[in-house]
Order: sequence, then structure tokens, then C-alpha cells
Amino acid sequence: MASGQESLLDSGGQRNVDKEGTWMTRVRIGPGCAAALLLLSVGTAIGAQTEAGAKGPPPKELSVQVETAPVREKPDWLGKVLEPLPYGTRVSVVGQRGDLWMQVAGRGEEGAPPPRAGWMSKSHLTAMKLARVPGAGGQGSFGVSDEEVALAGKGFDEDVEKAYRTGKPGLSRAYSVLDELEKKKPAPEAVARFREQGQLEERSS
Amino acid sequence: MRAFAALSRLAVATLSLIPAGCQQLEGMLDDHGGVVSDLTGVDREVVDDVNKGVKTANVIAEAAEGIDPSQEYYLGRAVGATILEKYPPYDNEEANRYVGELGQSLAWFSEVAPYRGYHFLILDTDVVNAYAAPGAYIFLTRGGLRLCETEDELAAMLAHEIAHVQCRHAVRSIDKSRWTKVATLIAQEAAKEAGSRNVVQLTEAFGGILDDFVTAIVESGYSREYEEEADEAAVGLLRRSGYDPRALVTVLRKLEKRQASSSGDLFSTHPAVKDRIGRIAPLAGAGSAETVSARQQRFEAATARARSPQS
Repeated sequence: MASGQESLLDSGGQRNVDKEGTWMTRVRIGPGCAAALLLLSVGTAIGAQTEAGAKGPPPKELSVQVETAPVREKPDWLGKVLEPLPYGTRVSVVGQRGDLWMQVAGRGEEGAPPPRAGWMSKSHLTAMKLARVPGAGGQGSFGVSDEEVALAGKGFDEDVEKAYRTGKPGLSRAYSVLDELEKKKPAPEAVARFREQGQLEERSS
Repeated sequence: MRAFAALSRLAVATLSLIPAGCQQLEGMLDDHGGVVSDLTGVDREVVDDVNKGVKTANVIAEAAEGIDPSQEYYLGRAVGATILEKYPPYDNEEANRYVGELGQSLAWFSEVAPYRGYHFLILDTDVVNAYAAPGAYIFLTRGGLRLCETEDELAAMLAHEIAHVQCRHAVRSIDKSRWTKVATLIAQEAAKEAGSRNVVQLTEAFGGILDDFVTAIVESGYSREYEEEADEAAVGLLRRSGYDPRALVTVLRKLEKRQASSSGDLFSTHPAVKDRIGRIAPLAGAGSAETVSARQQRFEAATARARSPQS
């Protein structure tokens, strides 16, 4: 337990982080440490919330929790996309604007300054550490190793959906409605136009 | 309601930065703490096996944290498909585009995005309701749309649904014993080599969780605690995005009126809206909700046919 806890407590630091940032593959913990991990992860979430209210320091690292999250040049939904990051990518938080935008940096080589910084919507990031989805790509300046990618895909996924749909032909039509709906998602430019026409102005809550 | 008050139904957000308005952090701790202790206590052998592998951190994290956002998405698709089997989509591109753009303009200010973002769709039924499925598909019925008289009121209904997603109410509603089994199964799966997944068992677990979600939607609705939490988060979302949060109070009052006059089963299973109004009104601010003419004009133009009794 003691050694496991050390590893956990160190997970935000350097000891378990190799130059590719694959700390998740290195950590060993005992079952008794699960509660400690839980508390740590929730603690991070609390810290992040506090930070959102500008009452404490931001968390050091967050994970992309959406399929693909753009890193933008500016903290704006219309900001130029510097790089799309796949699900599970870890980013370092280096700054924040308001409640909703995080300035992030990629990992780079150990000891060297982050190679690149940009802005991400806070809604795309989580304090959880997430397993990468296989085949999601992402070997750019923010990317992670193949080893980390290989750990993902153990729960509910496309295969399970396929198995669930087998023998339920009636669901096909419903699923195709969902597929169409996803394709029709309004572009950021359309949303910006909608907001402008409706005289909607961002306010702090 | 099965509407709004019950406007809830399914919603799954991610356990991430806990959004403002989601006050039940202790509840989340209980939920996930329960999973951890169940996992370690109930099936020590599995945990020990798992600990032999390099995947340990992920496995335990997954058990502790619950279903991760990508898994929520696949559950959400099944929830969405189940709802769409019951109610067909409303075939009106203009109205759906309007609701979609309004929904996205709120989603920009949400503190939690689902795996593939938010998606909005009108259902062709007179039932007064709205549903949020993980993933996150937000469905609004024509009956629900008819309840709204302004864009801000429509925004309030959608914001309430987004809030259920943000606060992860569906996942937090999963039956504990069900969740223990699922967590154990996923732990076992993670300990295996690639290519040897037990898709049959995973699919059974998938169907079990889906049943829990649908039960929460169709029969019981969310607890009053979750409804109040969603109301509170919705006020913040409306305010940040530029809408009048008092519109939420207006919509709840309409629901209350409907609840009082309804002798059918539509609202009978849902907590009194009156209490929610009393709680949320001070947060939303004094006075009546206002909207601007540009919003009113486009609301009426885009939704006229959808809101008409026939067609």
C-alpha cells in the first residue's frame, strides 16, 4: 500500500513520467489504494472547480474527454485550430481566461519548455485520467505514445453497440436518425451568427 | 412531469471538473466510493489478478470513476434510439435547425461537453416533455415546444436538460448492485489480452444499465434533488450565455399550472414544481423575464408550424 500510494501521490509529478508521458502504464497500485486514487481524483476535480472560481491554482494536467478537441490560437470558438487532440490526451494547463477557457501546452521533452501553447474549452477537459481510444491518432506535438493507446477500449464501445443491435432490426432506423443528427450539428460560424442576430452577449455567472 | 420537471429523464455527464450548480459532490463521492469498496471487497481475486498487469491504474480508475465519457456515449446512443423508437423525429428542417443553433449557443457555455458534443432534435409528439440522453442527445417534444412562448423560455428548457448532462444525473442514478457487477466485469476485461473480450457479457451489462436509464425516464423520473440541481445549473448556463434566467421560472410556472390542471398520469409521478420554483426564483432574479424583439421574431417564425395544433 505504501509504495502504491507513493506512486499515486507522485502521479502528477515527474517520477512516473517518461519522456513520452506514459505515466499510466508505469504506475503500480494495490487494491487498497483504490480509495486513495478516488480521493485524489475527486480532490483534483474539487481543485479544478475552485480554480474555475479563481480561488486556487489550476490543476497541472487534464485529459481530453471528447472524441476530438481542438487547440485554438485564441480563447474563442471561432479561433484558428492549431491542432485537434484525440480523446484521452493529457495536456498541461498553463493559464485560464474566464470560466470557460484553459490555456494548455503539450508535453515536449523532459526538462524542456512546452513546445506549443494554445487554448481549449474547459468543457473538453477533465481531471480524470482516460484511456485512449485505439486508432484515434494524435502523434503531433501534444500526442502520446502507442503504448498508452493500446490500453484503451475495454468497456462499452462500437463492438458492444453492434452486439446490442443484433436481433433488434427495429433499432436500425432510430440509430440512423442519430447518425444523421450528428452530421447536421451546426458549424461554429452558424452558432456565432445565431448569437449575434439574437443579441446574445456572454456574461459572467 | 415526465416533462421538464420530469423534463429530465436521462442525462449523463462526465465526472470531470465539477460544474458550478452541481452541488451534490458528496453524493458523487458516495456513489463512486461505493463502487470502489464493492470492487475491492466483493471480488478480491479479480482485483489481485488485475493488479498483476500494467493496466492496473486504468482499471481501478475506471472502476472508481465510473463509466468514462466514451462509454457514456455508446450508452447514450442506445438511450436515444430507444426514445426514437417511441417517438419519431419531427420532420421540419427549419424548426430543427433553429432548436439546434439555440442549443449549441447554450452548449458553448456548458462546463462539460459530452464525447461527441450536444445534439438537439424535436420529437413529433404532443406529449409535453424533454429528454437528455448521454452522448448527449437532447430531445424536445412538440408538446414541450408549445409550452414555450419565447426563445428565452425554450432556452430555459434546453438549459435544464444540458444541466442534467453536466451533472451526470443518469450515471449517478445507476443501481449500485448493477454498477458493482459492471465495474467488476470491466476490470476482468481489462486484465485480458487484446482480442479475447467477452462481448456477450459486456452487452448484457450494457442492456442492464440501459434498463436502469429507461426506468428512470419512463417510470420514476429523477429525484427532486437532481431536478433542483439541474435548475440551479441551468440558471448559471442561461446567464453566462446571455439569456434571461428568469425564463426558467416562467416555464416552471407554466408546468405548475399544467400539473395542477392535469388529472392524467402525465405529471402525477413527479415532484411538485412549486417547490422548485420557490427555490430557483431567488437565484434567477426578481421581476419578469424579458426577451428582445429579434429573438421573438425568429422564435415565432421558426416554430410556428411546429407549435401549431395540427400539421
